[in-house]
Amino acid sequence: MDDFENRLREFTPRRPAAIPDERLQFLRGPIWVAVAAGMAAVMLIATWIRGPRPDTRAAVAPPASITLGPMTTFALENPDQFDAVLTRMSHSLLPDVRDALSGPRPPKESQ
Amino acid sequence: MKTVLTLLLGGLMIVARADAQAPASPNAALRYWMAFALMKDPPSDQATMTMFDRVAAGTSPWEEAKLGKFVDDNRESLEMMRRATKLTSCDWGLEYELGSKTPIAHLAKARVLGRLNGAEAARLAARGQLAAAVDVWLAGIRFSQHVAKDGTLISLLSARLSLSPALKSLARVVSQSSIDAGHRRDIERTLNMIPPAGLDWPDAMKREAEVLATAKRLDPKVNAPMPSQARVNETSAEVAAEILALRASLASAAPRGR
Repeated sequence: MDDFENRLREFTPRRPAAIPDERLQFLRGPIWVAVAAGMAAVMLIATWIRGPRPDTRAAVAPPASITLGPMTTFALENPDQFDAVLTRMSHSLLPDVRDALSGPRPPKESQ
Repeated sequence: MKTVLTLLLGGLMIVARADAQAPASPNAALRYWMAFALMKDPPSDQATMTMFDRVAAGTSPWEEAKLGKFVDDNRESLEMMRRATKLTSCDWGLEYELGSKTPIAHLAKARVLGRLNGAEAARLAARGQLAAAVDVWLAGIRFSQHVAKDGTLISLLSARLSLSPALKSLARVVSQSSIDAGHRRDIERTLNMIPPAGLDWPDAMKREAEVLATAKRLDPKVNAPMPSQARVNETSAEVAAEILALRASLASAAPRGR
């Protein structure tokens, strides 16, 4: 039994030998870091292409009142924001009559 | 003398009676306000608006999961609006005597309802109900005419936001699908009823000058300039080109439909 244990103690941990095929050596080391970085870049680009573009236009204060003078000036000076301002103003113009008649009013905007 | 007086009085009575009995032409603007009161505004965030506009213009496919609910929520308003577009009279009752302080709240509501109408047309087209979609787009064109009615430049710019997507969508559908002859005629009839540049831009500029004069009379310190005629010409030319494109689609589709 002691012999057997002594025999077992002769075994010591050892690093495995290098893979003999040199082409496979490329699969080790920093190449994985590069591959991961590449995949992350592709995913980021795909997300940017598919997702809504961030609104880079400078925010301009909307007209204080929905009357002819201020609205015309705004529309002519900010034609790309005129549509959005009209839409936002619509929210605050009329309460929904059905909501007003049916007790506590839920938020008007149906998100 | 007595006979002449009797005849005159009799004539006046007949005229007065006829006047009292003449049915007043229903005012589409009042129906639109009713539709606005029932309208449930969809969210006004940029992403939703962009999605609506792309769908309405046909540059993105219909998104039932994201937009269907808003169209369903507004079915009553949309039907009311479409019925009103068939009326000939539309008087928004704008108080131009207030000059630059004239309220124009209807334009904001009209923009949202016009957008919802375009979305509903896109939904019908996506479901293959092309004839119904054409009817809805045509209602959108008539609606834009009413929105612009007796308006200054701002009314026309607002109306154009609903008009252009309808024109573009019709041109696309007509060129890609076989629209029946009846609906092609409906489109032609509607186009024949609107100005070559879609809206009456010279009339709006004339009214703009009048309102500006009123504003200056009310407040001599007002020094707002007239809008640039060059830019107005540019915009009207864009709409005119959209109409020509639709006419060209109709002309090229006609032989296929026969």
